[in-house]
Amino acid sequence: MAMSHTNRLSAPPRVGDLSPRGPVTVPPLAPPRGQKFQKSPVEVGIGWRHAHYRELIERRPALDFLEVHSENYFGAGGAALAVLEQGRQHYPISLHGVGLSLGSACGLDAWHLEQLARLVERIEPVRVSDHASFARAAWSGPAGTPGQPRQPWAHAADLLPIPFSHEALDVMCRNVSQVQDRLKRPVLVENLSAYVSWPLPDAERFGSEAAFLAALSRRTGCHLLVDVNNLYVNARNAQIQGQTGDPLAHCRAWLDDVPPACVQEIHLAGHLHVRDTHGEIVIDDHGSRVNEAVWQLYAHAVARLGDVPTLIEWDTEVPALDVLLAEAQHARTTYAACVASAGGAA
Amino acid sequence: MNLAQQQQAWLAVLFCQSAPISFAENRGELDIKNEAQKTSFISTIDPKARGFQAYQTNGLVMADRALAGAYPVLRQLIGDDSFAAMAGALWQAHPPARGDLAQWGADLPGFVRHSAQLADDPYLADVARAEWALHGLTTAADEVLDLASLQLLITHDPSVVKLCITNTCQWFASPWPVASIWLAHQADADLAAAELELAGLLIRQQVAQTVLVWRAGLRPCLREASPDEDRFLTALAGGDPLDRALQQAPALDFNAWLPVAAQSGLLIGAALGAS
Repeated sequence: MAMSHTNRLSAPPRVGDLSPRGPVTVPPLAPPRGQKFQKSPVEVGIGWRHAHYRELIERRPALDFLEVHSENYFGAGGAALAVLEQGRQHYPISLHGVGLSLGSACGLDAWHLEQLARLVERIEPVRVSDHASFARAAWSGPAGTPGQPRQPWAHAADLLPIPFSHEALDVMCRNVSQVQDRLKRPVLVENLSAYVSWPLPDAERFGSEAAFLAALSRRTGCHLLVDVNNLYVNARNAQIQGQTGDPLAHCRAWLDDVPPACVQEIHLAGHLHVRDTHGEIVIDDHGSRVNEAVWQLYAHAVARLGDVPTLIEWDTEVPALDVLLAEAQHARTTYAACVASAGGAA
Repeated sequence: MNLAQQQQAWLAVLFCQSAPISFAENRGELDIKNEAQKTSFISTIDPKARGFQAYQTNGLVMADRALAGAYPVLRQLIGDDSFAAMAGALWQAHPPARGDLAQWGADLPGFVRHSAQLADDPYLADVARAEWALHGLTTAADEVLDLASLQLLITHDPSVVKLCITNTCQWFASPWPVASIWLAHQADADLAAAELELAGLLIRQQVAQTVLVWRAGLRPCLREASPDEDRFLTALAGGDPLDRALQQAPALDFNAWLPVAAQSGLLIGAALGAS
């Protein structure tokens, strides 16, 4: 049985994360892709995790797509792959990777790319995505077990941030192009929740994260996956460290900077605010309902980006399927409110 | 430092946690002993920062979770806390080499074997070896029994018929009752106490067993193989036709073995071919 590959920060159990939501604040609709609202409703999907393998197949709730972590289905056969093939009979599948390490300057792991290519060929997903992060590098740590050769590479099994530098952009472009050449299709690259930022001399800095990702899209033809929760987590941590003011304003500015045509998927998830002896930090743990502030940002994103397929992610302490379905319905409701607001404004 | 060197340094500090870092055998890409380079990295990324600690903590959580999925019986045997500590130690000594965490953990049986803290329970390493074999076959290619091919056993002489064993099949001889230990941890609650007591007795008597793992359809399986079945399977794997394989296993009741092997997915067909 394949293991969970949440690659997300885990956190202790907590209380109070199911607080009722207030009404969504709907911002005025911006024009760029607003007309798309009249063509079709937004596609909303959920992350399909082990806890819901059987129930989802049996109930077949109304969802527009399912998202799975690509790495959980690597391999030539077995139970997990059999379940995924069942699922694709009923739903489009979005393959979301957590391990390609598109930002690694040492290059991609050819084995990983081949596994992904084989899975893409087999599942024919509606989208293929991974992150603007690094995890892979040459290993120069301890040699390990005496008598055994040192392993040449290490992989952090995490989504580590990259600097928004000219050099990192070149690395990302090279790796994304290699993936797209192998898969013969564009991929989506997701913005990261980062807990450490790379201080950069001005000469090395390319620009903001949004500008960096837009340039990546322009140079490689890849699409962008905007994780709204990640934006908010980063802004909250920056606020805690005194680096920014209103996190919502910061996130809205980010969304306003990204070219709408590049964005092909939106992610929504819960996060966790931790205060302990080590300090204060907001963790993107995907372990609770979408925060009210993130719903507000989603409304802004919808107004700005239009009917972009939207995913509800929940990877730790996965709740009952009905909770996920309620979150998916809330995404639809938020979208509909934006459409109504746009109609009213017109 | 270029980006590749910075990322290499990041991983070195990330995996080494707060333990002393020995880079005596560095590969030349980055000299962490070079104080200028190390200082450059530390000034760029503060390993004591709350954010960096979050990554380190996540790594340890992922290590425990990943190995718990692959080694559930070993975890029961040594306890959750010891298992988590061992996972953390392996994480630092043998970090994942690939972006698929299911591939990580192959070094654990050797790690257990060389562990001074686990030396009082020398059977643990072979339990870990069996569990890693089981873990590996979960994603192996699917196979189906070619039932019609078994007609060859009726229509042809055993000297020209070869039995096809599932590609997921692995076995190894252990000086310890590994199969009994593993099976005792799968037993229903009402039988578990008796099974565990029996396994404990076999451990004290140091009863050797050959462990056989394979996948029956989508279900991983483990059982003990008799010494004759061990020799029989080894002969088949070596390409021997049926008659020669049976000569290696005079005590094997082939007429009883055959239907069980076919029904359990161990046997997937037969083919013609002399040795």
